[in-house]
Amino acid sequence: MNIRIFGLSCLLSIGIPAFGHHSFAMFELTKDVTYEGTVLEYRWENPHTHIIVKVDPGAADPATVGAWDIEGGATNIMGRQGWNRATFKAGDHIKVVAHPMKDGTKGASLFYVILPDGKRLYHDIARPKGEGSVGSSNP
Amino acid sequence: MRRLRLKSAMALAIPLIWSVVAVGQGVRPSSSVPDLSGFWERKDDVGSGSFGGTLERIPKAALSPEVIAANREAAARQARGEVVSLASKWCLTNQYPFFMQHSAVWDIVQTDHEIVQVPEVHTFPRHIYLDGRPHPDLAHLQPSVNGHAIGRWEGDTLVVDTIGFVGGAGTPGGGRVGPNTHLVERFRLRDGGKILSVTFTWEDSSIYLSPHTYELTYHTSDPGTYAFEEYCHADDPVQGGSVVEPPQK
Amino acid sequence: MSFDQISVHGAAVVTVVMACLSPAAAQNATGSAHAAGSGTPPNLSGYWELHFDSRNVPPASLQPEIAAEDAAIQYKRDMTEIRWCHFMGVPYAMEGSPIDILQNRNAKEIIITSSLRTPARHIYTDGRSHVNPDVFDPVSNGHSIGHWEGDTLIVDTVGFSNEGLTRIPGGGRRTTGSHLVERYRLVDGGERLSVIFTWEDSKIFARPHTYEFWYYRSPKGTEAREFDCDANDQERAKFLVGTPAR
Repeated sequence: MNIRIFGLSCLLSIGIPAFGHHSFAMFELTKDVTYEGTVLEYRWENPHTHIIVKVDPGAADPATVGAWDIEGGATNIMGRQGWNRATFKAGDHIKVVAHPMKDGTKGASLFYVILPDGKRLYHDIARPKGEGSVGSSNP
Repeated sequence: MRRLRLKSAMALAIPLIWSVVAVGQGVRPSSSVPDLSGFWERKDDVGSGSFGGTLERIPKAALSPEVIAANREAAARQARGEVVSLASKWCLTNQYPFFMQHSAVWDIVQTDHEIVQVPEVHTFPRHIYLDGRPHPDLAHLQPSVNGHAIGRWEGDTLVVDTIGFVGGAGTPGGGRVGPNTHLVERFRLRDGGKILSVTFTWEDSSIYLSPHTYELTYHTSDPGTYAFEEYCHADDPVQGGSVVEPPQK
Repeated sequence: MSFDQISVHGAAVVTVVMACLSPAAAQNATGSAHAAGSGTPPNLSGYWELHFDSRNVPPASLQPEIAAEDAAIQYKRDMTEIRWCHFMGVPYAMEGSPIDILQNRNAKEIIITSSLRTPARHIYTDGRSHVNPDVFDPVSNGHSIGHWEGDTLIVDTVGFSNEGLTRIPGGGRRTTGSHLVERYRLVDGGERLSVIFTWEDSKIFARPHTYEFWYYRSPKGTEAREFDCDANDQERAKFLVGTPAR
């Protein structure tokens, strides 16, 4: 199933009339799901970076088994949060927290990844509820 | 001869004194005003849970009934997953104040006569003239995405007055920008220069029932920060797409 | 001392004192005055424009395979970039007129903007090096760092992408392997700005290609324009990529 929503970068439409672009209404933004598996593809590109993640059977959360399209932001947005084109490659292990699609298809909006040393790489400036910003920089 | 020498001396002094006063009123030298230059970025200071949440503290604008109805209709369409704007599909130029509420950094470069705000998003740099020039008269005003902006210092605060927007952009709080919209901004450093506070006041009787005011704060970026380019290719089929469920193998 | 001698001297003293206090005396309206040998770099800030006699561009010495290329290919590519409103990048950003140069008061950065919808050039003058190419995303303007040698600003740029109008004045084109060195110097009492461009790219040029522009200072009160771009304008698209009607 293909789901296509015209859009560009990360600006929620709430409070802003029809001039923003990407509607995040298709994601459950209040729900955080952890997907842990293997990177199939790491596409560092605009308008959105995409990480295709394969979660194998036996995962801690059975609902996450399968191949997922985890959509990030534009490269300048993610670059400011510490990402670059070499952050991941096919075959890497990955643990990613994302907001799933409302309709159950295997897509999600990236919130952050957890690196092996525990450091988080966020998609954008947003931080979990109750946590302040940890800052950002160029790669 | 004595009178001639005297007159010559005064003829030399008076214009110079006048020009000093005139220039002094239009331009304040660097040493007497704060330095706003550098890269600035928005940060989620308290943990909002989502990017949209970072804007939730912006007060709602007091809008005309027509604008309220238009906003509701657009929100409903978006909730149904409909396309409400093809601006991003065609990579149309982002209009002010888009980059001020976006999460991409923007850069201030400051001279005595002009300040330029240089965003990463695909739009034009915004020029703020500090040399005392007025806005052009309406017959000669060329509307632009950033409007015509003139600034002056009031103590440590840069006050920027802008008119001449093309119109069509949105503002936090549900407002929008029209061709007759007037914006006053106040830029002020806080916390020893680590934070830049910008207060926006929008006025437009066709959009707002009363002036719409809110504040956004920006944090200074790390030393060594450099600008990215946010390219947008309308001819790339990917530009019009988003999440695609991969084959399940 | 007689009365009129006092008056004359008094006027002279006032004049000298006010001149010393006046920022206008330290620099002109756009900030270009600079005492030679003072150790303070010149101020290049202001609007600068190209006139009909602003360019000295000799033909480039190209690699044989580049010289043999069909010029129509480059032309079509450039027109397609314009049609789709892609960023134009360097060198074309320096041919838009006028350009606005702002030399930051803290001496850490110089910005060059134009009226085109293409990113402003950031020239970092804070002593930094180029970014690690393993992580740097190539961009249409490249990554520029600058330093002063006396009265001349030397700007070194690498990290170019293939985006935008890549053709270079005199021949050849910008590629991901291009290296550009520019030398900026005020001439003619600060009323003109000389910029010498030297491109190196072993895939394109048989030897470094150098040309020079002399920009004229724009009239006082010049303002930035915005030449917008709408990729959805189908009439515009037909004009740009279609064959001109006979």
